[in-house]
Amino acid sequence: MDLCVFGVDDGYAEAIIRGLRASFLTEAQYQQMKNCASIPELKSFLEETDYQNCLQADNPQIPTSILRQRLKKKLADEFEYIEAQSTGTLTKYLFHLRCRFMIDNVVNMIEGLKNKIDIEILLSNIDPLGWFPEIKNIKVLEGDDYSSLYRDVLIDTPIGVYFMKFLEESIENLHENRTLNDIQNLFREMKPEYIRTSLKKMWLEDFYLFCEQELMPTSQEALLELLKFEADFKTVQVIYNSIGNRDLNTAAKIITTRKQLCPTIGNLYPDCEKLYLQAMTLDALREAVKGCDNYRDLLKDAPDPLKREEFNVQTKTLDDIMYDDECRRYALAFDGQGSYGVFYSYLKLKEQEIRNIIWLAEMISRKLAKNHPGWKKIIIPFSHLGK
Amino acid sequence: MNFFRSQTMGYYKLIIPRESAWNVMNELAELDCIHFVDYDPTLPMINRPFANYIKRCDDLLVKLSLIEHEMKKYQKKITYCKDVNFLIKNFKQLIKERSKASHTYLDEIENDIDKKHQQLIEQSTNMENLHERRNKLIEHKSVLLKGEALLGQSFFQPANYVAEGYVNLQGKELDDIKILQGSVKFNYLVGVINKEDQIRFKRIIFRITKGNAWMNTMDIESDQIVDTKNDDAKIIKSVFVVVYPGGGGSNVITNKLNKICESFQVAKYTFPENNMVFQEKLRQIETELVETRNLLEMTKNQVEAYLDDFQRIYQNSNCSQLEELKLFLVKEKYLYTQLNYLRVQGSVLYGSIWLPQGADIKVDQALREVQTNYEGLPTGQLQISPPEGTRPPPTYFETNEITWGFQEIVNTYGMPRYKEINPGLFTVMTFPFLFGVMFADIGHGFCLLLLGIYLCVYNKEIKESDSLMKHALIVRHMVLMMGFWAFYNGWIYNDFMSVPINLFGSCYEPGTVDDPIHKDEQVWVQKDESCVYPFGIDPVWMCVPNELTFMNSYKMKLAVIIGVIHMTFGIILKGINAIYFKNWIDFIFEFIPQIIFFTCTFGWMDFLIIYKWFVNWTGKTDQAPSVITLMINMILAPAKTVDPPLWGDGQSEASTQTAMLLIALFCIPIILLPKPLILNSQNKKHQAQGPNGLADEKKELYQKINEDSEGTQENSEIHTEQSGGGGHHEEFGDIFVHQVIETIEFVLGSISNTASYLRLWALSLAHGQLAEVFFQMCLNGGISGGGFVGAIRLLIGYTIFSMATFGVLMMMDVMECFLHALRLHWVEFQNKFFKADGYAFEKCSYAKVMQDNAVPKEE
Repeated sequence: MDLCVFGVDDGYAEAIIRGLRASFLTEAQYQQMKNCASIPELKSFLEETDYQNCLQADNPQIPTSILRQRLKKKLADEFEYIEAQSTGTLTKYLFHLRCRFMIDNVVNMIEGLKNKIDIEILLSNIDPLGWFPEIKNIKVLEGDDYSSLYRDVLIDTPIGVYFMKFLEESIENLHENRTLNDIQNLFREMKPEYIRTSLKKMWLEDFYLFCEQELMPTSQEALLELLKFEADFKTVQVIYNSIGNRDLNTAAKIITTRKQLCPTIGNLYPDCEKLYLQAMTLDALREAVKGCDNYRDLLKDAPDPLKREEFNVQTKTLDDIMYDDECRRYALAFDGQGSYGVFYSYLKLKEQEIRNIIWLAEMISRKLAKNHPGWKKIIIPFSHLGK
Repeated sequence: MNFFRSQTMGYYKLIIPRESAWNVMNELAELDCIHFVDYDPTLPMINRPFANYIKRCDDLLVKLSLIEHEMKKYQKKITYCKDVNFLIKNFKQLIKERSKASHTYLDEIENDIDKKHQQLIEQSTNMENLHERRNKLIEHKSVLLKGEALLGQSFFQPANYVAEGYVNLQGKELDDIKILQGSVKFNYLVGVINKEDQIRFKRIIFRITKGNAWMNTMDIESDQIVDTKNDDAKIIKSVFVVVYPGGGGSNVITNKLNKICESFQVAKYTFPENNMVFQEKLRQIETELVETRNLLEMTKNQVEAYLDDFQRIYQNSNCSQLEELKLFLVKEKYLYTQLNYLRVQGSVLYGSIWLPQGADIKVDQALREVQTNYEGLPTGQLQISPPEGTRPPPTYFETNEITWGFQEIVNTYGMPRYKEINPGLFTVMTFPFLFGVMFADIGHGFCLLLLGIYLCVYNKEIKESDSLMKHALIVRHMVLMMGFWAFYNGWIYNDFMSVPINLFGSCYEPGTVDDPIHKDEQVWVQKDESCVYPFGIDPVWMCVPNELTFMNSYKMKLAVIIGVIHMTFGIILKGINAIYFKNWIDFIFEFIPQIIFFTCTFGWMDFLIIYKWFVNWTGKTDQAPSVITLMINMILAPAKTVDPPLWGDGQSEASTQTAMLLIALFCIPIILLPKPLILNSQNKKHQAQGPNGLADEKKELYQKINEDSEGTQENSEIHTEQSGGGGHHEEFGDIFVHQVIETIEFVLGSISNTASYLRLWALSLAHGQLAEVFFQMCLNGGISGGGFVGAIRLLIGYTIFSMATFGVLMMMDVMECFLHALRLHWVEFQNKFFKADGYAFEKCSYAKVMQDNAVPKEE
């Protein structure tokens, strides 16, 4: 039924996305990019692709950070255009997509502030996808009282809901007779990574709920599947990264932290929760997820987190493996008609493409030998179609 | 015959020494007759030898477009180039007169543009800075004036407060605060903020002061502050005033507020404490404002002077300097793009080109001219060579203003194969005619004809004007012809906007019958036995009850006759093509059975229709057979005696139609079977010979081509075989299935296509009925009513009638008939013979690419 009426409101936006689908770089183009000898060459190559207009004004020796900013700006512009063409549920949905980037931006800002980096530099580094007017107001108002930052400034932002929730949860977790100082200390000590993971977890759960409640069945079908995977991905990441983490020294602390950070959605929750919360080695983690999908196969190749010191560029990290699998899933979303899944996938895949370009740009600027294993470390969206 | 079949092409090698590449190419591009073959289409442009130059041209074009943008901002009128050939000649002259190497002209232009662009940018930044300063001053002034308006001057005077206490300001009005001012110290914050940030600012102030502050804002007059970074858009800012109790402990709140202001990028101002300082400040700002205004004016003049430079039309030019530079760069970029199609080996460029027959002399001459024009420069060489690769030669027709439009109609469907009969030639005639059959109406056709005449006669005047008609000029001949045939066919159908015209006097007059039953009915009696209405349909048909039945049958029959003739012609063209390409299999086993099949079925039907027209059925109308029944019986009961017969006793008719049917049926297997079998056996022979045999054969043919210039025919034949038949590697199954599809398509197609031509009748019917409805509804009442009321009704009715006629009949119906005529050509006519798998000859031409860039970009 929803296929009949999908086009009424969202047909145009979907059509734009499908048109933009053609802008993805092909495998042959990646090959040519790898053959570029210098950054100016890479730039002039990119000017032949869809990225033409966003790079034209820059000088040929473009630093990778600016390059990334330009590419992201283009993606953000496209996204903004689609947002402007959307109505009703789609607008809300697209806003949810943006939230992820906003969280990243805000956490980056906080991190920067803690490290006393100049605000102008921080502002120039924010991801244009997650830009919102309040972001320039993020600033410590008084000494190093971060809790007032949360209370006064952050809750006024579009993602304020998550911060409020986060604030409440964190304060609740403190011991009973807490003082104002305790709270201030808590926020001063809090690691940005922790904030990021918690917020993203909340966002993911919220987004999942939104999809479940407000979207039409076709969109739901596609999106919930993707989101479940993303939640599982997050869970596995949390567990994986906490294995052998020195900051979490007691088993009890590990489990409580994990419990706080792991999303309460996905294929792994709640069936495998007990198992994965207690997994202290990679093997135990593998065992914990074996019942679901192809996770075990994915983890098979992951390097042991206990031997982190031995990692180098050649190591295919867990992230790489997961991104690879993700890419395939997102590309599949383009096969479905009349679903919101394409918007989500488009963003994700474009992000991956930008990551690839930046990675290659780094490789090129470091003038690494062409047989260096790093050249292979890119994940090409839609490459499965060629096979 | 260059329009009947595409021009004969020759394949040549071009060898150009690298140092004279520019000059040679420049000379060649002016010839407008060379098609460069890209030696490696997969190679990206950036990896080619002249990519660097293209990039430079692109960069300069971007700079020029920035300058153009500035010019538009300052409302400078740019004169666009109307005649690019003049400019091309000019550039040539210019380069000839230079003493330095000709291709270095680009370097000079580059320097020049870079310099001017740089200056312009400097001036623009200057302007921006001045604007910013002016904005600041205006803001300050507004703060002073609005601040006073908001709070009153007295507020800012140092008050004698009693204590630095805490006061709750929540919900307090300004007057309350003023009363409180005596007892408690207040702090205030005055500044300017973007209007869009205002609400967020208010909210955050509220949150920080815990609601204990009073705030008010006032907009600055909108047109004063200019955002130079954003195309001089106007931004609205507002002055805000925050009042909060300043006492009590440290200045925590002040600090916080300051930080907030910083993060909002708010401009804070201090308010003078007494009136004298206030007035003084105001005066100071006024003077500074005048100063900045003067400076701004000066800078503006300077910028305009720079832009005037670009606007000016120099001697020996016909457009603004900006346009001239732009077109020169476009030309230069094009030249290097073409050069990039050549392969570089050492210091020599090798290129492959297609040339139309006879053009090689022109190219040779041009190459020699390079030597005479530029002494000391080696020139290029032209060599004839066997074609490389599998691509057949490109298709090239020379079109003129009349044929262009029709050729476009054909090309839109598909570019004719090299040397194939060009349907465009016949389309010139048949297209307007078929349109005319559908749009048949004296009145409407005449309107269209008038439009066509107007466009043709005032061609020049319209071209130079800014009229919208300009876009229709290109199809003016088509409109003229379509109008003419619609007008002509209108006379044939005798239909003037649904009213027939009694021009020659009808052959019938009102009369009575003797029959007592029908006594009161009006009947029409023929004046004279031999009277025939000289041209078109007798208008009397309009007045009889069976008008529609008669007209439909008449138009339907005409449509089928026209259709069958059109399609038979298409099949004959197929035969001619087969002869031309010496493709005897196609000729004997496709063309001949097809034409026989078609004549025996639908040709026979046409014969029946025309025969029936020749018989005088007066008095024995009940004996007249229906053509449709005849055709159906021919298939269902072929041998049965025809009853009622068209001629004789029905016996001879029956035997003829049986014979026709048998011949037609016999033709089907002939179309189906022999061709795939022969192709298959040929394939086997080739396979037995092996790939060498084939190559040898090809080589032989190429040699033959080189020996005699006529050889291109065979040459094309090989390619046809390769691309079309492609039989050498195809399986028998594929060939057979292909032929089955072809056969089915032809046999069924001949039925459905004939039926499809009935649209000639259907659209004409629709047109006539629409016209009649408009006439009856809008005009008839007024005319027959008469008197004053009738006049009023006519007045209103005519307005509606004219609008409906224009909107529905002259716009929509023209469009509809056009589309249906298009379809009849593309599908029914062209599927009989047209292969349409060629590719266009793209001549390297400065004039074309410059012309494309010479028109102003639409905003």
